[in-house]
Amino acid sequence: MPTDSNVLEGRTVLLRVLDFTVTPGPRHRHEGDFSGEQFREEYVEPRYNEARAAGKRLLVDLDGTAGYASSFLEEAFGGLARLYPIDDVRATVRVKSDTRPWYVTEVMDEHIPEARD
Amino acid sequence: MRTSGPWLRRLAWAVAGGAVGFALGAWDRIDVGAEVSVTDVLDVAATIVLTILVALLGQKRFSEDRAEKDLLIATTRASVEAARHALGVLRVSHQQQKPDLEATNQSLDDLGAALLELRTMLSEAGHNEAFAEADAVYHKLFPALRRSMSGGDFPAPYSAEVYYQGKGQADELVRRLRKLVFVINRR
Repeated sequence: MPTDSNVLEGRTVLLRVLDFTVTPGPRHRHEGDFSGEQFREEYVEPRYNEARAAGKRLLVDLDGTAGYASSFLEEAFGGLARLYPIDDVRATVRVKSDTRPWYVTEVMDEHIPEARD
Repeated sequence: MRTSGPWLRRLAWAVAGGAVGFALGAWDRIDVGAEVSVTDVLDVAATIVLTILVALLGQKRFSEDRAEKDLLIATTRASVEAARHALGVLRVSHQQQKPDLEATNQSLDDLGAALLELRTMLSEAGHNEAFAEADAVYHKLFPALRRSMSGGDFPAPYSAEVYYQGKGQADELVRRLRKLVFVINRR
């Protein structure tokens, strides 16, 4: 089996934030490097569309970085839910963090459900 | 630090001494002219041994409880320190009018990890009352503090409103964690 790091058991598209950066930054591009906006546009949205087209889930692995501002996570995932139907986003996106589980709660229970324009 | 441990030990010795004294005092009333009853001697010896054993077991149990409480309280204090550090980062960011993203993220991560450890240990210790409080802090106050400290735009300095909101949340978090020390100690 090919060692494609973006495929997990054939049913999930896996995205590691580590492939983007070790030091996630602020919310918007104009605020600094490695922003949530940049991450969403360049990594999350393409993988999300890939997952939706293939009828798979998108699993975003948050582990291994130097930590996240709440604004980064809100822009990356709440921003996604502002661009795409929120029910589709909730059904498709999963996040994981073995070391800092509060990020998972924050994204899944707050940023995505409470995403607004 | 409570001093019940040494008092318990002294009490055990006093009881043991009393038992020995009683046995010695009663010795002349024993009719040794006939013969010493082996049963009486064994009875006295068994009483002494049992008294000391019960006292030592009680002391051991007390020491174990104390050690568990001390560990939980030390973990609580680590959470308090992490919260105070986060508050310090918030204060410095506000004073310098330049929020430090890296320091903010690190301090909040440290606080989250400390709260998670505290919550886990209270759960494993079966300390339901303290766990409920720590769980509420972890699930409500901590996310609110995270939103205040790292949910805004980062080049912009914290406004006074954001600063005082974050400070109020951090202060409340510290206050509730400190109360946990009493809850843990009371059991």
